[in-house]
Amino acid sequence: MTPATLYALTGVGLFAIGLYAFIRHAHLLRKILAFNVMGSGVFLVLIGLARRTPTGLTDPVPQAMVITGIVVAVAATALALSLMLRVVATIGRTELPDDPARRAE
Amino acid sequence: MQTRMPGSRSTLGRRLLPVLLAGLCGGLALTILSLSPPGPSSGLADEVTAALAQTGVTSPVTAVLLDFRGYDTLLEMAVLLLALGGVWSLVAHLPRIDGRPGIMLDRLTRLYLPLMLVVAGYLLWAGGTAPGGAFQSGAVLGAAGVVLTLGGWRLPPRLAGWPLRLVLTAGLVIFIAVGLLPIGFGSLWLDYPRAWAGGLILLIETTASLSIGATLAALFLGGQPRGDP
Amino acid sequence: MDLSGPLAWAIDALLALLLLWLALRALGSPVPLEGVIFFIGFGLTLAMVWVRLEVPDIALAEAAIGAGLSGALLLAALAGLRKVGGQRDVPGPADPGHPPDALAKDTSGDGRSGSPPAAEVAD
Repeated sequence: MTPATLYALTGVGLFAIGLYAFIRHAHLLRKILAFNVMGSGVFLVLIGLARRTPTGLTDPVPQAMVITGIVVAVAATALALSLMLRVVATIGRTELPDDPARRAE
Repeated sequence: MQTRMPGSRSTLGRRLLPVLLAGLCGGLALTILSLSPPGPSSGLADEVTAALAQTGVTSPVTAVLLDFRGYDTLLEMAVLLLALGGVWSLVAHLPRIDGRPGIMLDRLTRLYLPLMLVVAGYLLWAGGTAPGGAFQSGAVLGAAGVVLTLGGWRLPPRLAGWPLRLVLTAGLVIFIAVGLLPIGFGSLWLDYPRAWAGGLILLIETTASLSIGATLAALFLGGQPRGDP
Repeated sequence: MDLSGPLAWAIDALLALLLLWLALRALGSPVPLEGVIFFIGFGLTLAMVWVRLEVPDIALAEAAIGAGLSGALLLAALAGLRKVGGQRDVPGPADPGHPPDALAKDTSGDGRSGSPPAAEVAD
């Protein structure tokens, strides 16, 4: 196992942790954090697999995709945070009323 | 009625979730491990290296971002503007500043801001040959905007109307214009002429980094800066 | 940079475990402020991992955008949560600098700031 494969497996683990937290928690901010962690896990998998070249030169196309992904993720996070603040201002709670995870908190 | 009885359905779901996720995790891990020795193909690295001379830059990542996959970058800048539009439509105008920053923040802002501008300029220029480029430079500019905001500075109302919108959209507009230019010369969309490719990429990157920096700072600010009353 | 050898392996294993632990702490903490701070640490550690994987462009972007700007956005949102008055789950530290007050308390009387009276979902 090369170190790149180790990081790719870490990425899978992060994706799973993020997905579990996203489903399990009802607090909107924690959902946003979970979504970001999932994204980071995917990026790790992409780059971990991009290093599998026989020449040792990392494939630049996944690198460009990950840079794009990081920027898009922050834009989505900003919009999601604005939506969250608006939702809280409207209903007064940080959890959506019909979220089944709510009772589990 | 929204009350959910803690019945067997939700408890079963709560117990099933970790099992399903463990299965997903294990399956993905097995896939990655089965792929792991370096394969015979090197992805697209060889094609990029072979075609690098046509792009006018020597950094493969910048070449991919701005030339080979330039359309993706164009759309990404549109996504940034869309997110900003969404944030601005959700939030009212910002109230006036009602506080003064502390002395530490004030002094550090005055110290860091010129350094950040220089670093952003370097990253932009070095992007053609070394790690760097429009996004990294734009990110540092955005961070400079955040530092200014935290220090209590707000955009003067005179500049918060059309000039601000001009800076925000300039990157995308220039990119589209440069992309449409080859069509006028009988070529394809975004097909930079080889002799000018390096210069065009630098032009796109410069306006893009300014736009990205302004957009990121505006996203942090959270609301439309107060324009002329 | 040598990506093999026992010392390099130790560093990689440590970084991978650190990433997973930081993610768990960030997502598992009941206090949102603690989660955000661990998330910023997670972002910075991820930037180190990108350096380890020899992709410096991504490391620059992650450190600036993924850790720095994302962290600033999250902290500003937390401050906004406190002002708008969601559940009282944020123990109040001092305001981080001058947080932008995003909602509601608009002095210009712009009609858009007034959200409709809280439509209480009948529970």
